[in-house]
Parts: sequence; structure tokens; C-alpha cells
Amino acid sequence: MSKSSGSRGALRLIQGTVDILILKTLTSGPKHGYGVASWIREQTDGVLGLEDAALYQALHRLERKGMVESAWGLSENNRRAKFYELTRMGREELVAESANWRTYATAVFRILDPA
Amino acid sequence: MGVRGIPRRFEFPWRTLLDIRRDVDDELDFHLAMRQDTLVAGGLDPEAARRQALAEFGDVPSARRSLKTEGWRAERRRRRHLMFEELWRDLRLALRSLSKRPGFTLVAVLALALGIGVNSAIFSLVNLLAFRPIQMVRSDEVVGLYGQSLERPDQYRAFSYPTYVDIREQNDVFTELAAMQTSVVGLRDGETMRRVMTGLVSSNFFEMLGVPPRLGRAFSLQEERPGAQNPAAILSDGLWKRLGASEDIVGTTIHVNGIDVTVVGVTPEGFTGTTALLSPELWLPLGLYDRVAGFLADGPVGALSDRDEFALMVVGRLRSGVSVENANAKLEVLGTRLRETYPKSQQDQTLVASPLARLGLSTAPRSDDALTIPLMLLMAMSGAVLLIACLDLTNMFLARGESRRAEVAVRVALGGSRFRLIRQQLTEGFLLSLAGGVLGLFGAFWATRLLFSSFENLVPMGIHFVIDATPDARVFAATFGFCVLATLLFGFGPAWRLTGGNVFASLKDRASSGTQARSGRRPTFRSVLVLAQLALSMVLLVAAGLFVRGAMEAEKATPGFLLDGGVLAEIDTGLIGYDEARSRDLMGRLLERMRSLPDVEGASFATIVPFGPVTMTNRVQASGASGDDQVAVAHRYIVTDGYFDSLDLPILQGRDFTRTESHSEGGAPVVIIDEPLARELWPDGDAVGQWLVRPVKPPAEPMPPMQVIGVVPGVLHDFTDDEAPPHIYLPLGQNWSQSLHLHVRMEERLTEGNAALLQRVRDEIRGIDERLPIVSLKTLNDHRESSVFVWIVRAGARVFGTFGALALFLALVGVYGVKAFVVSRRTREIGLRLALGATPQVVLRQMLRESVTQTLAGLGVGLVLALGTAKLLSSLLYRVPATDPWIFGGAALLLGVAAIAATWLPVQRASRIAPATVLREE
Repeated sequence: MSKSSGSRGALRLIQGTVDILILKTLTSGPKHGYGVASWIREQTDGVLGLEDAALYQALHRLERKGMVESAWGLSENNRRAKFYELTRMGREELVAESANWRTYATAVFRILDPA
Repeated sequence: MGVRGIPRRFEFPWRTLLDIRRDVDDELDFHLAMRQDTLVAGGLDPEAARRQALAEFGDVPSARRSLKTEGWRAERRRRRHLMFEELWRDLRLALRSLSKRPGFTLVAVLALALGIGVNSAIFSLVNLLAFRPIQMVRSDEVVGLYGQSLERPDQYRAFSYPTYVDIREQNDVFTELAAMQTSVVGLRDGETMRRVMTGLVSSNFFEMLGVPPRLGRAFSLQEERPGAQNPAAILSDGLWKRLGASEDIVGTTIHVNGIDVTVVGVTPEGFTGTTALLSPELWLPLGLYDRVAGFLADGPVGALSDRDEFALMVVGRLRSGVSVENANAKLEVLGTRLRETYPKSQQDQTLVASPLARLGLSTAPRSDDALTIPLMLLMAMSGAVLLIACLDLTNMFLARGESRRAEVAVRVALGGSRFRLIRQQLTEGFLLSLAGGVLGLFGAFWATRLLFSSFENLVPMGIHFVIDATPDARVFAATFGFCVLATLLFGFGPAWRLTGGNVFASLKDRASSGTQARSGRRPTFRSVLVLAQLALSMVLLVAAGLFVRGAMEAEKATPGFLLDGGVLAEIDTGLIGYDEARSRDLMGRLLERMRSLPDVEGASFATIVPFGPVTMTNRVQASGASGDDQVAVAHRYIVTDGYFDSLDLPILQGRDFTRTESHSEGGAPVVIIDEPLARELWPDGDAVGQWLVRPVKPPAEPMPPMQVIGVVPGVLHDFTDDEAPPHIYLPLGQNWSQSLHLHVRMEERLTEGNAALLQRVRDEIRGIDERLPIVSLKTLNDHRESSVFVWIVRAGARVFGTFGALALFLALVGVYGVKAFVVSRRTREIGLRLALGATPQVVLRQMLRESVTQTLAGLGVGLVLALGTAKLLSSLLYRVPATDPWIFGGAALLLGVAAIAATWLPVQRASRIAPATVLREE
């Protein structure tokens, strides 16, 4: 699998982070790839600088792992689009990984901002 | 999954590569288009929006590529997974279904084990004879080289050592050219001397085949040269094991024909030289030729260095890229050159290369075609046994399907795919076949082992042969193939029938369970199958009968003289290196001693024994006659005086050899001939006193004529002789041979057992000289018993007898099974008839009549097929007419009675049906 290239000055994403973001995005219901990308972009004001190519790689990887399922449907403007939906396994993964992330972030913050 | 508001498309379980590519493209295109639209809506012009969308996306072509590749890889994984999952599910279902019916499963596995096992056994025989590769590198490059007569192209000749060396050094078509001759030598094995088949080979023999010795080294050029000193030997793996399998054997000494020989090497396991079967146990260098090649030679052997000693068979490896045709063109040139250089010895000779036959090197090109017909016949016959077993299985599956028809109909009605149902049935069948195959393979190994060990016990000419019958990968693969074939044969038909047809009819049929006797008088599919089984078994039974009858004939065959009371001892003084004078003295004393015993009626020596493995012939004609027409080919026996006496044969005219003619060299050459030769050469006159000559071609020295001094009755030489062939008997005094058979005729009233009798003869021989090698010692009757021919006839009877017995058994299983099924289906009908007043006897008679009709039809078809098969077999039969009415009648009677008997049980059950029970079920 080819690694996504540069970050265009934005933050580099830690491996695995994209997966969590996608899973989280899908908790609000099925979305197509573009929907996922624009939701993340809106929520973070583009700070993460996530390349769309990398996003799709991650989506397909999650689908292979059984975290999400896909089906073809019609988009809001009546175009054929591939929709993704969280599976139960994906939901569990999100819960577990979010917890990990919080522990991790807390630890990092403790060092950066010693109380 | 349920994506709300998204209409579901029908989806194939499997996606194609095209689907995957299109989906990736569509998905990314949709994304780019949406982003572009959004940006345009935000105020950008379309071109700039497009550019920004692409930039934000990253490397689009690379993303497309990697998504497609990954997608396809995942799809393949998924397919494999699905396949295994389905296979696993089918297997579990099949196992469950089979274990629910243990009786069905047991009979099915047994029938298949017999059918497949017999094919595996025959295939391992075919494999051994026709397929198993001979251990050598690039066998396609290895060819035999032959000396061909220009004048008579069907005449071939072996090579002399000097000629072989000339060709080896002067040819430009072979990378290596090796020479070989086989002989039999005496090897000291503990206290006894044992005859061992030996390959005398040139120094490059092993290198030419590309199989160097596993231990030690190959022979040196020094050891190959005529008259070489320091005798060396290379052991076969088998002999090495027999001698203790020591890794330090190289450098030790063995004793061959009384010579001390140093072991210089051991060949790898499985090495057989240039032949597929029966290879030498011991390899010696050509340099020893003069000392060990004498066995069975026609007179004393010449010297290896002699350009006229045509003793060697030559085999070479063609240069890579040189075809046999190319080689022959160049060899012809070389042949011409040799002819010019050696006008006498190479007169009329040219060189021809030809591919090797599997059954070994010879002085003339041979092919393996002779084996093709018997092997094909064997495979066809064993195939027929499997076919009968498959028909049993077909019937069993049909019957079981009948009882599952309703269940299957429901499944089909509920949308079960027919393909899946068929696959399920085939899986079940294949499981049965596999179980049968494994069981059959064990049986096959056991049976072939038994067959080959009975051959190894023969020890023809005192030589031990070992046949490696271990099944190899080809046998396993073939057995697997038989399993697949059988499954398709018996599985597909019933599965197709069961799952097809009108679902609703089946369901309705169920509602009115069997009100109708569907299998009334009209021949059903099932009864056709039984008919086929009966017909095939008829063929196999007739073949079995013909071969068994042949074996019985062979038991009775005699050469034309009395076997009872005869004892035969084979003595070979060459094995201990005694010279002629010493041997003559010993043999003379031995005869005296035997004749002096009170209960011995006669004793004599002979080189050849009728019904034995060795044949020697001479071309002879009356002195003064000329032309090929008057030449007779006669068996040549070298004997002493008293030979005919010890066989209880009278001398019809003239006299026996004198003591002097039998034991001393020189004297006027004399010969005794038999009636067939006398009739042929002197049809209207007295043969005694006439002169006999052996015609030779002009350059060879003419031999002195021999005077006929007596005429004796004709005897057979081979088992296959229909009438006595011509014989000449020469006196041992004028024609020495070191390998002799001592004939002793004991008084018939002797009551002591054979073992004691033989021991007495052994003691007498030992009394003359402790060291005399007794190669074999047996009664004349045992000599007949241990003949290779009798073994072949018996093996044929055993193999075909087994085919016949299996066919009969499997056919009866079919007959019984179908009848039992038919009766169970017609319970209602029979019950009604009984209720309406029919007596059980009437029912019984009617059911039996059906059985008889069916059996007779099967026998009729079988008779026609059997006649055709017997015609094909006729060339392989021993003294049995292919249309022997007793055998045909016997087979028909046996099969007919057995088939009717097999239906008796179910028919009886039918007549005992209680009408009340049947009617209550209504």
C-alpha cells in the first residue's frame, strides 16, 4: 500500500489516527467517502491536512477489516455513490481506540503542561 | 446491510476484476466532482476548482492503482475463504448424512474399496512395467547401438571389444558410449555359493547413465581393459544390504567364481542399470570378461581382446540436440569406414542407434509393444470391476434418493440451488470414494506384495530377484484419479435425477405415497443398471474361467516322459573356478557313485532340462544337402550315456552313447536325434548312420559332420510347445559344459519323503567333493512347479480369478439391493393383492419370474460380450479354446443361480407381507 506523501505544511497524522477519525465520523450514520472527507475538513478547519488519497486507502482498509460496510446508493444530488456504514466491530474498535487515544494524549499533555 | 433509503442492487457473490476497477474509478470520480462543485459554489471558476480538488486529493493515479490492486487482492482472499467455508460445510453435511446411515456407508465403502483397490493393484503393476522411470539422467538421450547386417536388415549383432573401442573413440554423436554384457557368476555367500546376475560393464557405464556409485568409485580404464589384473567389483544396493550394509565395505574382498575381487563401490538405491526390471546384483569391469562370462555360453568363450568375439551390447548418450536420425546418418559413415578398415570382421555390418526398451538392453533393437496388449487387457478388466462397483453405488444412491425425494423437492421449492444440491451429493460420494480408495490402496499393496514375493520365491536358475513393489507417487495419484472418476460415474446421475424433474409432482407424489407400482413390467433405469452389472460379471467370470482352466492344464503338462521319481540337481563347477579336467573327473566319479546305489535306477548329466528357463538351439542339416530349405532348427542338449534311461525313454533305433563318448574328448563326432528331426531330415529312410552338419556362413570354419548313432522319441521343450520340436543330443565328452544338471531316477516304490530323498542325493554329491556348488536340488515335479511359465499362468489365473470373484460379489450386491428396494416400494401393491385373494405363492412366483427374466437378459448380453473378450484373450490362453463351452456354460450357470438366490430373500419377504398392516397404513 503506497504511503500518502507530503503534508503540505499541515500536521502529520500519527498512524492509525485516520482510522479513528473515520470511525467517529461514521457514528452519525452512513456517509460516502466525500461526505467523510468534508466532515473531517469542516470539523478541524483543515488543520489536519488529511490527503483524500490517504482517506480512501483508510476507508478501504477498514472495510477489508470488517470495521465498516459499503454499498452503492444515490447521493443527495442523485449521483451514484459508495456509502460506508459502521459495523458493530467498528463501533467496538472506536470505543477501544478512543480510550487509548485519551490515555495517550493525557500522558503527552502531562509532560507538555506540567500542572 | 441496510443503508436507509438506498435501493439494493442484486449482487453476485463474486465480484470481477472489472467490477472492482469500475467501483474504484466511480468512487474517486464522484469525490472529485463533488469537491469541484462545492468549490465552484464557493466562487471559484470551474477550472481552478478542478485543480484545487485534485491538489487536495493527492496523487490520484497512484491512489486509483493501489486501491484497485488491494481491492482485487482482498476479493481473491474472500473467494478462497468462501470456497473453503462451503467445502467445509459440504463435508460436515456429508459426514453427518453418512454417519446417519452406517449400513449404507459400510456397503458403499466396501464396494468402492474392492473396485478401486483392484485398479490400484493393476496400476502399480503397469507402473512397474511401463511407467516407473529408470534411474538415469535425461533418459531421452540414452540410446542403444546395434550392429546391423546390410544384406539382411532384420539381423543384428553385438560388438567386439576392439570394435566398441573404435566406435567410442571415433564417433562424433555420443558424449559417452558404454558397453555391457550380463552374465551369471558364483558368489560366496557365507558357506554356500550363490548364483548372482552380473553386469560386465565398461569403465564409463555409470558416468554415461549419470548415476555415479553412492560409495567408492566407478571402474577405471585399467580395470576395463582385456586381461586386467586386480579384479574390482561394484555392489548393487541390494547386495550391499545383503552383505551387512557396512559403510566401510569399499576395500573389502568378495569371492566371485573362486577369484578374490576387491569391492570399489556401491550403486545408489533403486539403480537398475539400463532396464526397468530384474537388474544385475553385481557389477564387474569388462576386464574380467574372460574369467566370468562363460555362463550358458555356446562353447568356451573367446577372449575379450578378440575382434571376432561379438559379445558386447553398446549403449550411449547422444550429444544434446542430436536426434536419433542425425546420429544414424553419421553412424552410417562411421560404419562404412569400419567396414573398409576391417573387411573380415565388419563385413556386411552397419551401425544403427535406436531408443532403449524398458525391459532391457539386447543385441537387437526392441520395443515395449509386446507388453501393451496384456497391460491394456488387465486395465480394461480391472476397470470393468470398478464399473460394476460404481453401478452398485448408483443404485444405492438412486434408492436413497427415492426416500429423500420429498425432502429435496422441498429444498428446491424453497430456492435451494440445484448446483449446490448436486455438489452436496457429489461431496458425499467423494468422501465414500476416498475412504474406499484408502482401504483399497492397502489391499492393493498387500496383493501385489503377495504376487511379487511368489515370483521372488521361484529363484529361477538359482538367481534371486527382488521386485520393488512400494507404491510411488504415480500409484497414489492414479488411485486418487480412480476416486474422482468413480465419484463422477456413480454420483452425478443420481444427483441430477434427484434434484431435477417436477418439484410439484414430487410433492404430490409424496401425498399419495406410492399408490402406483412404478416399476411394474416396464424396464426401469435401475433394472438396466443391474443388467449391465450381470453382463459385465459374465465377461469377467468367463475370463477367470479361461485362465483358471489354463493353469489347470499347466499343472498336468509333462514333457513326454515320467516326472515321478526323478530328482534334478544343478551343479556348476565354474562357480568355484574348477577347470575342465578336474570337473570331468569329479562328474565321472559322481555318476559312478549314484549308479552304484541300490535304489537308483539311472543317473546321467544334461545341460538343458525341458520346461526349464534355458534354451539352446542349433541349425542343422543332412550332410550333402544344400539350401536354406533343408535346414532344421533343433534344440541342443549335451548329455551323458544313460540320459534316456534316467528319463525312462526308450532308444527307438541305434544305440546310446558309450562311456567313452560321454566322458572323453576326441573320437569321431556322434549325435543322437529324435524322431521329429529324423522325420524332417530323412523322411523316407533310416536316420541311423547318416551324417548331420551344422551349416555355417563361408568365412567361418565349417564344423566336422556328426554321425547319427541313435533315434529317440520326441519330447516337448517348452510348456507352450504343441508338439515335440526337433532335438539333437550331443555327448558331453565331445562337448564340455561346466553347468550341468544331474538326473537321478529313484525306484518308484520308495516311500521316503521328498525331503529325505533330496538330502540323500545332496549327501552323495557332498561325499564326492564338499565344495561342489549345488545351485538347485529338487524333484522333477518341483522343477516343473517352479518354472517361470507355470508362475505366469498361475498368476494370470489368480489375477483374473480375483477379477471374476469380485465382479460376481459386486454384481450380487447390486441384484440384491435393487430387488430389496423394489419390494419395499411395492409393499402396498402386494399387500392389496394379498388382501384381494392372491396367495403368497402367486406373488412369490411373479416376483421370481421378474428376477429370472432380468437375469436371463443380463446373461444374454454378457454372453455376447464374453465371446468378444475371449477372442481378444485367445493369444494369452494356455491350451484352452477361447470358446470352451464348459467355461461359458459354467459361468452362466454360476451367475444365474447366484443372481436368483440373491433375490430370494427380498422376494420371500414380499410374500410374507401382512395385508392388514398395509391397509391400516392407508
